[in-house]
Amino acid sequence: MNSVEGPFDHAVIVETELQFSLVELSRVCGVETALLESLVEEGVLTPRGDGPTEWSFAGAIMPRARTATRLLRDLELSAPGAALVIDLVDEIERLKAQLRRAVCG
Amino acid sequence: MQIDLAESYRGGRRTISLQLPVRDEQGHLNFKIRQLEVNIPKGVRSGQHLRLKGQGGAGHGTEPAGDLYLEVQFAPHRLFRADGCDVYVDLPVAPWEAALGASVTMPTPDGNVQVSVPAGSPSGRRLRLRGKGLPTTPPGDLYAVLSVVLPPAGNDAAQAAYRALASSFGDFNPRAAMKG
Repeated sequence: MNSVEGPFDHAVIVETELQFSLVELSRVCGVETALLESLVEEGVLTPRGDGPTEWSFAGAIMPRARTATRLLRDLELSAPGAALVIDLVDEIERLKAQLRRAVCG
Repeated sequence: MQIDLAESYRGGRRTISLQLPVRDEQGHLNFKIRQLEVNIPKGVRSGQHLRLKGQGGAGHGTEPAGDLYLEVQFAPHRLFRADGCDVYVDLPVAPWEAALGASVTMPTPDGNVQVSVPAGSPSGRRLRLRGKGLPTTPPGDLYAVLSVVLPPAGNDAAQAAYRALASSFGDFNPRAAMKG
């Protein structure tokens, strides 16, 4: 018999309430910081701040960062390759949203 | 984690089950079920993620030990549809309500509201209820999308009523724009 843990009252919405440092984001994505740095170089991720130690990533990019790092790590894409795939995924999402609006009003 | 639209409007609690693979002493793979009761923050949108600090653990796939992340999805609802922080409701109206205007009661995820249907509203017209969408900052809007529904011409009286209507509008041609 499993007991229910909690209640936990501190679930926060990542996209609106959190910021990540480079180190924190690398933990979330399970990758080396160098990999994230290459994604920043490629323009896939756009943190605020000057330089890796000062970078602050908006919580809203977490899903994007996770997708990008999976592409780099699991599919062994290069950073430019991952950037291209992310752009295409963005375009697909944008078109899907447009389609939903057009069909459903 | 699937939640209902109404839970995002009011905030709430939900118990989730996580299935975690664990190895026993013989090295066999077993599954341990872990149940957590978590809060649903008000105004959370479909596709957003919740973080529960310190509730992660080894064995959560690629996640390093530490935090638990949950992706929120809205369960499909037969009346309401969310698009970001805006919510859409299909609002059926009678032909006379659309033609003459009317004040109608409409359900929303947060209870009923009165909607003023302007006279001369065609099907598909969207009525915007500002701030009645998801309680984000700023709040989203609720859109009532009008759908004119024809009463069925099922009996003699109904058919007579429709024919009378047709005579009253002798010159009306809905296909006028299609000529040429």
